[in-house]
Amino acid sequence: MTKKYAFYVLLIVAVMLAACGPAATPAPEEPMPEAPTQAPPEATEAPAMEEKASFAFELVAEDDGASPEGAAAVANKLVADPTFVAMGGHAFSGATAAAIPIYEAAGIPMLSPSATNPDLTKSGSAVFNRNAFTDVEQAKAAAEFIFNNLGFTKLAAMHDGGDYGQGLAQLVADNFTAMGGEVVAFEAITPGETDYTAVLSAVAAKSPEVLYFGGYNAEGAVITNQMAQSGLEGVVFFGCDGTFGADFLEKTGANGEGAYATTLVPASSPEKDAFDAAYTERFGVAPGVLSPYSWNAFDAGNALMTAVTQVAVVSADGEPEACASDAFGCAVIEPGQTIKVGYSGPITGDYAAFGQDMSQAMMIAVDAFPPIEGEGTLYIPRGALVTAVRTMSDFQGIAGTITCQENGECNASGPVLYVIQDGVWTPAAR
Amino acid sequence: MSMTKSSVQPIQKPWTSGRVIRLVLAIIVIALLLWRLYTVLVVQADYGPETWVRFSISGLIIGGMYALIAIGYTLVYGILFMINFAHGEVMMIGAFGGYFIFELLSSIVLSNGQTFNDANPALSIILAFAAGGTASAVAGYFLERIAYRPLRKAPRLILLITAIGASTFLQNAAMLLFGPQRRDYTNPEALTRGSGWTVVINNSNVTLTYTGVMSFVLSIILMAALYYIVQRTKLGRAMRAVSQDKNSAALMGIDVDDVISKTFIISGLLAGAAGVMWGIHNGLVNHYTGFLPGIKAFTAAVLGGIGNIPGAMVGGMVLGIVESVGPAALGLDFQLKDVIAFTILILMLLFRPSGLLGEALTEEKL
Amino acid sequence: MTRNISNALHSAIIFIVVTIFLFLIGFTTTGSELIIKALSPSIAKTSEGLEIGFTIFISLIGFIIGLVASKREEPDTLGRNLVAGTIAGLISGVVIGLFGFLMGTLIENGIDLRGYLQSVSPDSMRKIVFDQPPNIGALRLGGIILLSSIFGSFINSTVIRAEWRKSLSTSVSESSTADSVRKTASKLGANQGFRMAMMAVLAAILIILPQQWGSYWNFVMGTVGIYILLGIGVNLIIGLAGQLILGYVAFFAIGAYTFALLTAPAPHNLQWNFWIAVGLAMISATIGSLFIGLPILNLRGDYLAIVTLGFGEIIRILVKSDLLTKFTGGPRGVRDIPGPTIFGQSFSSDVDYMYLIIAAVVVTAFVANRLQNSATGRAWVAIREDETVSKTTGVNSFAYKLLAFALSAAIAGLAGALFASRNQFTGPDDHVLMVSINVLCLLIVGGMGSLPGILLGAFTLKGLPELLRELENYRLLIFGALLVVMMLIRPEGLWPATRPKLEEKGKSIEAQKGEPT
Repeated sequence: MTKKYAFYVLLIVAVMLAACGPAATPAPEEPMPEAPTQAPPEATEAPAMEEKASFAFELVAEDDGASPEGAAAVANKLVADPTFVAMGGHAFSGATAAAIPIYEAAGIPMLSPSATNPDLTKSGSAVFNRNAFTDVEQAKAAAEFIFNNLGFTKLAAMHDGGDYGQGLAQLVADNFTAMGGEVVAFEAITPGETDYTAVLSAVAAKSPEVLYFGGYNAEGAVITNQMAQSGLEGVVFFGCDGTFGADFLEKTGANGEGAYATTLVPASSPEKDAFDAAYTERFGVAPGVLSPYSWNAFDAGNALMTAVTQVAVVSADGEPEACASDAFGCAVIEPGQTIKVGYSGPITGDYAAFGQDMSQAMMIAVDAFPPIEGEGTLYIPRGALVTAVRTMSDFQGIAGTITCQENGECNASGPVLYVIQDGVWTPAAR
Repeated sequence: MSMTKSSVQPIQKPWTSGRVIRLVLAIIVIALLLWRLYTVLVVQADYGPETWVRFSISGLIIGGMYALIAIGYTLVYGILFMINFAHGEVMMIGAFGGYFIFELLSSIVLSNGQTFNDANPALSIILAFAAGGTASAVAGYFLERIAYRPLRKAPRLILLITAIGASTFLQNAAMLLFGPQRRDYTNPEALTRGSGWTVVINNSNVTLTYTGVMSFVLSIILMAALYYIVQRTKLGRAMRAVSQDKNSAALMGIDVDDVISKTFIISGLLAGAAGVMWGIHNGLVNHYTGFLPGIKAFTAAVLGGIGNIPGAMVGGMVLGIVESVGPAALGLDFQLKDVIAFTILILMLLFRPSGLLGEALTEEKL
Repeated sequence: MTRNISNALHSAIIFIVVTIFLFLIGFTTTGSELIIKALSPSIAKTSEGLEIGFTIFISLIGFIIGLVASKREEPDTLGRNLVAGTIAGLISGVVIGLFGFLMGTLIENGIDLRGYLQSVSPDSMRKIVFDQPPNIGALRLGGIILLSSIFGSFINSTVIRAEWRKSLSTSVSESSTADSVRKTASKLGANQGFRMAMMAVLAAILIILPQQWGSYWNFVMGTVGIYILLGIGVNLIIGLAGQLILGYVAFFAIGAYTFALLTAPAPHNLQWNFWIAVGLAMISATIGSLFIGLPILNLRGDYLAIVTLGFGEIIRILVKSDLLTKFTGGPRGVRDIPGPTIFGQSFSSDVDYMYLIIAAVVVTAFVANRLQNSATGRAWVAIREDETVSKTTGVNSFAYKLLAFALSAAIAGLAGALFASRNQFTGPDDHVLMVSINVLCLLIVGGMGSLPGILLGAFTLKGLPELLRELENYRLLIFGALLVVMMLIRPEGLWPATRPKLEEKGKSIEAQKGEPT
């Protein structure tokens, strides 16, 4: 007995050793001392000063578990790194709200691809921007479309109990009532369950004409599948940007016919196709399957790096003028170091698909972005970078144009409504 | 004899504060319940009979799955007195087992252009359940061998923590292996989600979905089979003996470790079947699938009286019904269905501290 | 000889499974990257760098196979050890080599497994055969494992087991380093002068450190501190009074929300004073505990656990429900919670909060320690050891349990208020079941009933995942495995209470069922 016991202990310890041993050894945040050995033969031939340095971008993807607590830990960790300059996140609104004050204090510009809660830009933060459209815009567009174009007057609003879904459903309901429609039911589900027919039957008893759902793809698909059997035959399923996605078609089959969703997924363009191909090749799934925000995340990464390129100064003789006058000083990148751009979202846990998807999309953006070339050391004035992101205009991304307003709303394209016709997503006629 | 017996005064239970509070609470709760029921059913009358039937169908389907998982908790609890926190993850592994069989079978195209899956629905379903059950049984077996057996003599809290660790491990292992996205179960065409028999009640179609009916019937069959095994077979007798007293059972020639292993295998089989049902019914599985039903089934097991097999079955069904009928009957939001379920659990334990069917546990078991 | 083979076979099979599992979750690639990054960062990103990393990774596995296979050879001679290592290395080399061959062949034919096994990238499939044709690569893979396994068994025989033999002859007891540290510490602790000196050093460290280590560590350690508070609280009811509570997060949530709603500008705009709000948070948590404790504390064992778990869930669902959204802020939570002020000065930088949390921990620990050593503490322990007996000796067990419950709830309320205030935010996602489970884990991992144990446990539970951040999505996997390992190696916890605990012996299942004591 004890021998066996010892044996299993050893087994697991061995795995741990293999797993943790090497991980514990590196001192990650140190500027790598071995860096100069990178090209020793050249260094002996020519003085280092005249060498053309190349400053590449690097993505630091962190796991905040979609929780405010995790987000604050991530933010605090990242701002401690002197070579960290910009944040392409966070993913979820609650987490973002907790992280904003920390980036605010450190002068790190944010550009979130997916935090859609309207309140985030209301607090007057100088650093927070997003290229996701807000729930306000989306809710207004959806409510108007339902009331005016579809001509429905009885709406049932449902959500998944999360801050995204609940906020959105509430806004749609408010807009719809203001227009003169009637909200006959307002219910919530618990994500991850197998059978929603009970709550759907309760909604059906109020005989709505359309069912609006604020939440994500998976629950949206289950609801769509279970609507007919709960007495909601012929009732239109109206989703949001969270429910849009290629796999929604796959998951709902014939049941999904006629379902609506909002999205900013672009029409096909050479850039989009190139990104789709690169993503599929590298990660084995098509973008949009794990979460609907792949394209947004790719754009956010590119926009941030473009802004960095605009303000960065390479100088061989000491700190440039811009640093001294900058409110937050400069990020100083020595040759051999990389410019760190962050991403933070739930990489583990229930919503892991979202975080992993966006970090993968950003990884593609970061790895393909050309490095900054020059002689000497790279200086990035942080305050100027914050301003550069906030004043960005007409940045052409694959998911639409990014033009930041004074409050940090950068999505200039607005939501597009899609409907499933004959098994494919087609833009809905206004 | 009889004279002396009757002359003994019945022992008066003292009116402790706890007892008074409980009594007052009970009166308040019952009054509230009656009042709510009256307003909802008579005054408001929002829901017609067809809606009530739909609620009940939904409850029975979920209840059947809860019951199958709850049996796993109860079997393990009955023998090891531990809460097997990783049981939900064992179920998730079974759901993946079924998923892969369906993927495999639907990729085989027969000569008539149909996939194997659509052409032989019965066989594919049987294969899927076999695969899911096996995957979960294997997982349960190794879970016990590696994580629990070395701790046979440790206090129960230690086992609980080990189980929590194992649960985290399995969940994340599944995420790393299969990816974080929810995977779409490829049902045979005959079991298309949403299709089923239709009954007209009150001028409205009430659908008994094929997936739902199959889940329910199968869970009843499995429960009956389990009951037969436990009550009538040699293994069942050994299991009951071990749960009564391990030392004496060992003295009677029962291989205790072997019986415990088999218990984990059986509870894994049931959980795996529940996992495949879950996948077939709802269509989506990922690494997190096991968490919620795990907690719910644990609740169901306690509701029925933990350690008691019929209790777990009844508990699961009751929980399923309460979740789907409760909010409507009380006129509350469906979001609050877990609040109702847990409140009922708490109230029930106040008056029957050992669950619906559980026998009063002796001190030593606690 | 047959023993030789069976031992070797056993370890080979296990490591084959482990290696293939590591490959399937993509850890061979990540592990190689980490290794090469640690050794030589300059070539970390290059292809040959990865190859070197992978070679080291694989030889490490082979080395461990050899080590484990020869671990239990009897008689302990070099020859037998080597034979065991060779057999294990050969078997696992062949099987893993074949697996590599399979992967290599699949990728040569352009088959992508990522549709089902997301972590198996074509790149990692090529890497496992060293970017060579499958047959040559597989041979190399198997060869490395065989050689390193033989080397492992050699090292085991000449270095490790030699040491073991030495140490076994000197002491029979299974004293580990942690135990000896603990014993030395408790011996020294008896010395008054030494204790004072230690206290002074500790105080100096606690004052200086928060200023030095930056906002990230202040944040992480602040969280650890809050979990220490929770640990101290839950120790009263679980560790001392012996009542298993799984819904401790309920009181944490009540505290956090009371505090947040009283101080935050939305949804009620009350903007009360920080200190008054903290006090009220503690009081409301206590009231909550009396409300639920009065009816249920008569329940025992796992029934109590599930009822409290249910209570925790009820609080969380109610807080985020549509019904109470107007009152609690709903799923969005409460934001922009202001920090405390002292004499009109703002006191809310990360360093200030660290001090505040340290102060709270010190005060709570002091109070809890005094309670533990008082008559009340002895009554709790009596209830834990045997409630029936303690009742017959005149302990009002219900009252004492309720007292422990209320006190621990008050501490949780305090922790919740501090947590909400430091994060400037609280929401339903902060108060999930996992918090209760984490607190229970930290208590058990650290060692029930001892303050140093709670400190160690909190560091392990909340600090370790932060340290494991480098491992990205592997961190929770490794964390779960470590939790199991820790329980297997030290079931009594890292730093168990020094007080003799009779129930540890008495409550094991065997004894408990065998002879009712």
